Amino acid sequence: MSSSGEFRFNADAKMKAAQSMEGVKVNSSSTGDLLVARDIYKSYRTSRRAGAVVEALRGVSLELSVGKVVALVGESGSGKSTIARILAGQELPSSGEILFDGKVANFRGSKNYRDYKSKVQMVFQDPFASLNPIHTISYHLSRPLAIHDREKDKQRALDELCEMVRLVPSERFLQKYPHELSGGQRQRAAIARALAASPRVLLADEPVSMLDVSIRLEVLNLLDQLRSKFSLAMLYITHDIASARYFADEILVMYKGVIVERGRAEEVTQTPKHPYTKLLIDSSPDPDDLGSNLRSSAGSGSRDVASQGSTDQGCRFAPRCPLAMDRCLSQDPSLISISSSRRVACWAITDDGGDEASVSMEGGVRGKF
Amino acid sequence: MATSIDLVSLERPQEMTVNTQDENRRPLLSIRDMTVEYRGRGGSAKAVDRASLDIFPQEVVGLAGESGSGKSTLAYAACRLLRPPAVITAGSTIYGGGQFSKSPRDIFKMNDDELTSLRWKEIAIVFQSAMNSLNPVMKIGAQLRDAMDVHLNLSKSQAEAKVEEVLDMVGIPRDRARSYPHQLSGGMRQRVIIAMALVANPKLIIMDEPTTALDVVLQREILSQIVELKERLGFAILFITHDLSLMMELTDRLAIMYAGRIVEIGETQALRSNPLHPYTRGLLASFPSIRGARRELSGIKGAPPSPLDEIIGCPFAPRCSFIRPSCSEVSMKLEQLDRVDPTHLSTCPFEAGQGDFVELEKIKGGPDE
Repeated sequence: MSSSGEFRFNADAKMKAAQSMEGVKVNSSSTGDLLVARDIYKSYRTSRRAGAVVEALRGVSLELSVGKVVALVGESGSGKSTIARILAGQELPSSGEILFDGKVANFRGSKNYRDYKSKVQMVFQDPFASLNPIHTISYHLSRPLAIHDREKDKQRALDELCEMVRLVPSERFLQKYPHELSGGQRQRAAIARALAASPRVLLADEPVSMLDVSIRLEVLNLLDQLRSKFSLAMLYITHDIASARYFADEILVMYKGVIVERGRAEEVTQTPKHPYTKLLIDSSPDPDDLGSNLRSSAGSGSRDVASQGSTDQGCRFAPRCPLAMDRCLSQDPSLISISSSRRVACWAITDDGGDEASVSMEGGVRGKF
Repeated sequence: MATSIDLVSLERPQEMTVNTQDENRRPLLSIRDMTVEYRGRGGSAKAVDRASLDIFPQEVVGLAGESGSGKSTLAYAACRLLRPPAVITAGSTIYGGGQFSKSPRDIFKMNDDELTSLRWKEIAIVFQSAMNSLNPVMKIGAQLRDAMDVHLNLSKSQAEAKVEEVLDMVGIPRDRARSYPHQLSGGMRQRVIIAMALVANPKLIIMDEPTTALDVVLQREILSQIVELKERLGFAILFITHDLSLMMELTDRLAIMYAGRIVEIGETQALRSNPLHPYTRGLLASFPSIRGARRELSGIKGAPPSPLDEIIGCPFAPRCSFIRPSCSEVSMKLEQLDRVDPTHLSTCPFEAGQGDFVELEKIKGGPDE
């Protein structure tokens, strides 16, 4: 991928990059894959009664590769953060495996766990909650240095970390407490803490959604520069599919514990195939939509709250889906390739030619929901 | 803070004089020169500085700004909802006029009884993250009846009927009145809060980030329901948010706040197509678009000033790409810059030119450089 430098969000550069990515990995065995989740299931018991479980993940596979950003998009409760916690080794999957650099990751025992943690680090959503209010920034950055045996020449390491996330001059920030920093600065400190372990994978769980609109872009730009500078493999979890379009190479759309669509960021956002992806995109705010249905209620009709319901069988999106067929209610569709870079889990798309189905939905999705 | 300009600010903006002549277009709520300070040991922080805003009957007005810009403080101050350490040092709120009451009244001159009869029956508020502030040990129906007991004089059976009526309005099944908050989803709880605001049929509803915690699909569902109710019941809405892209779709007029001041106000479409203030331009260039061609995102450098800082001239100047020496002498008074549109006002005395701001001498005799 050729683009990097100061302004990766430059439209031309990114388009060229997208074209040069033609035929980029689709296949999980290709060489660049660093962290791989293979068929992960995770269920949580909800009460002591036997069988009362919530299936948070139902067979999720994904690959993070060197220098690439994969975005995981979906509504709250879709399992985005669960897969991140499993990738970070903070939780064990009910079944399935995590591979790091081609080898099955071993989290048993504190040494193995620590080794894994030095390679895979996480950045959390809320920088107000993820930093300890009674410790200075210096302390927050020193701990991972100590834990991961990087304490030699500690002061220089601290200065470098501050430099990396542009908390400069570092001596001004190191002695500060979290409450003395703005939201954007706090998130930079949290990113520096993740980098202190000198990881190869960064899992960013909604890293900018708590920040103000004018600050978000800066933090995303920073993450992007770190990605290219250190060839980090990055997972970007968000509910804002528009930011994923600009920031990520590949987008995976999750719905109720499964990936329903995946493909290159520009393709997924511009020609969405799965009805849920379409719904997500149609629901995203569009400042240029002057005839928005929010300006007048004409045609929106009354909405049925019960449409949020779900089934235990078949496609979990079927109760809300305008394309739902009998088959959708009984059989769960699996993720099937529809092109070299695109996979969709939807009977209506994979069964009888994706294009027909997508044409028939053109322009009408928003009204139907 | 610049004290020399206080006298100038007492002049009414043009918008006001035009509208008071027309009886039918008299504002429902008119906030004048509101100034709020938070007083503490560290000195006093000016949260809102001489902000004026009119809301007309049945209008949807957006108040947008970053966290800490004073948008919630302004709305709460206008309704006399602030407590110490917040101190309102100047300003007034005139309510009524037109067809809604006999004569316009100053909210700050009302006694307790008058205030009680104004609140909820005339002006209702949906507080920030209110969906999490429902009483967990009271059933939904009981909480709705609570609001009615205070503000309406209804018999038990009338109150029961009213509960069912407002639940119908927001699309919640009637039997949910017997549910506790934890038995409802986030979207449903938010609808309950909106139903609560509707019980007394108010003329104005202030909504403080009503959908921020919800995902985009749910957000759009709830907002289109609010718009539908607005058209049916004819109330006006003041929307407080940091999500400018959503506001663009939803509002008739928009006010942009920065560091306690309204820096630009106008018809939403005028603000979108011809933003006058560099801050507004920066905000518009900060969020990624989901549809259409990718555009270059520039964002805004730096962070907003601390409210404890003394600000001379324009508070945005340190982050502004069009900064010039005279920015420290800007009076921060809303002025008409757009020659054709008398409702589009900005505090920046420089006009947006081709890539640079050209000082406008003809409409406003700006300070010499």
